[in-house]
Amino acid sequence: MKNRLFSGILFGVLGLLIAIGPQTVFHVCPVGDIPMKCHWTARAEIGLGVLIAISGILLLLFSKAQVRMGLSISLFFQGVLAFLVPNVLIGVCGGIHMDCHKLTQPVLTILSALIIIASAINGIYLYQIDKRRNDSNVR
Amino acid sequence: MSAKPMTITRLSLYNLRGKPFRSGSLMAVVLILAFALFGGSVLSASLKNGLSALEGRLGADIAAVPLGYENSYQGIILSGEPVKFYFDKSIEQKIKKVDGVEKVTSQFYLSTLSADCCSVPVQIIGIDPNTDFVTKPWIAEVYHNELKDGQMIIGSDILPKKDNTLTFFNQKFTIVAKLEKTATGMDNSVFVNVSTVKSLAESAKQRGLGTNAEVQEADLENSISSVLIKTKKGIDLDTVATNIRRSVDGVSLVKSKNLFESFSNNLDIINSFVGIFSLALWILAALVLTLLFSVTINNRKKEFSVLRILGATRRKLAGAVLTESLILSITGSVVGILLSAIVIFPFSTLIGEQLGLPFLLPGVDDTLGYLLIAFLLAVVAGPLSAIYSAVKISRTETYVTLREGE
Repeated sequence: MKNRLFSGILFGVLGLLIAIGPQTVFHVCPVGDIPMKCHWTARAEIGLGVLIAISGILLLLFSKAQVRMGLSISLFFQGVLAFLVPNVLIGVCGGIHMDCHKLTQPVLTILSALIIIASAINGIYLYQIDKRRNDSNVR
Repeated sequence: MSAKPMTITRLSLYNLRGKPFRSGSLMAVVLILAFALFGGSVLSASLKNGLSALEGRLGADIAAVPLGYENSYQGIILSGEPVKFYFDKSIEQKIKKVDGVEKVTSQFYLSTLSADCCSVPVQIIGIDPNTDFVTKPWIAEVYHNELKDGQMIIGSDILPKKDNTLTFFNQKFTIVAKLEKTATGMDNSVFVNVSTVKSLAESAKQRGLGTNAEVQEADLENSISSVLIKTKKGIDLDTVATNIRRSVDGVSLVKSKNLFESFSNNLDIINSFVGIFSLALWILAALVLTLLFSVTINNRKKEFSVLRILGATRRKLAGAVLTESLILSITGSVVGILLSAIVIFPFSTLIGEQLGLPFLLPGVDDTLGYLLIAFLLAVVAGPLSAIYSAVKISRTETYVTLREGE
């Protein structure tokens, strides 16, 4: 129960931060005549962040270790995608003094790295629990 | 199932794992200490680096700018904040004749409203290759030829296009070199020769592209933005400044020494604060840890008595306490330094901007040095604080302790 609660809340919060953060707290550059790269990155992160938050809620709802392991694997790849969007796939504006470059990109990178690491740890932990349970059933 | 031998390390690990809240609290103290030590030392070193870069780039002793534009000039030097202000070219010759002036050179400033490199305004600095003594020494570090028409040297924060060009006011320029990072306004500036910048300003003026009233009203051919002055050796800077003020009207003077000293004083204050704060935090952390270890070991007297009865020597008990503290310290230090690195390195641009001081991160070697020092200082705090408790528990009489409270 502890793991369900902790992991569910953690991924829920991280997902929401990724979705809403680039529009509010660590916002991207304001849209001028032509929307810049960071605008599209922020839009893509809304979808990814919501998906991560939903996966977090599902982690909270499901009790079976194997289901939660599957969700952790999915979260791992969602984290990778959330990392790639501001760094490789779309990117942010070039000027290093621009809001998106000096604030949004590093925050998104750290948040997505947290998701990658936490989902990997959670997945391994759940795998070990499931394995231990199977071993004890066999005996 | 094979039983693992109960070594001191394993015993300590089990103890720590068995009481996660207690272990977490002890670790948090070391974590905060390591965070502050590493973060403080890197911040302090970055400011020091930034200031040395600024000192190296100032070059001229005095800068003469149009009346009331001294803050704008400082903006160019410190943050590369784009400006455009002009006065008559003849002022350069007037200043040259002033007593105490060794040499002078003029610069011409133009700013863009948007550049395709980064969509933010960029400062274009036109230098006079014949008289320049300010930018030449550090441009020579990356480019040895004369800067020709249509060529430019860019600051480290300017991103060129893939074909190594940049377009300003519909004119394409070839980039011949990129300067090293300095944490000053030079990072956000581009350097061209004075004829290039004037033709660019003229073309922008005619097309009405991104120019302000200063550009529209100026007689560009006969205008300059600043005169940079080198004074003769042995002559007081203030005397030369007074001479210039007496001889030339309509100029404001910015003394490099004053500009540098104001930052140097700020840096001294910040460095003293970081030093005192780090020392105070280390002492506080050591005291808190001593207290926490003393209380927790006191509560575990019976546990240690049982271990004594099971055959653990006094030395082993002391070893277990010290190993616990060492494990906590190492873990806390690693996490603290990691968190500090996560805050400082990705957000260095933001931190530099917020501080309003030249901010240049130290190199890898120096950073590793600070990391090692912070790690060692934070790690020793734990075992050092636990020595008292370790000695105390190893001297306790087992029988008395077990019967305590009966």
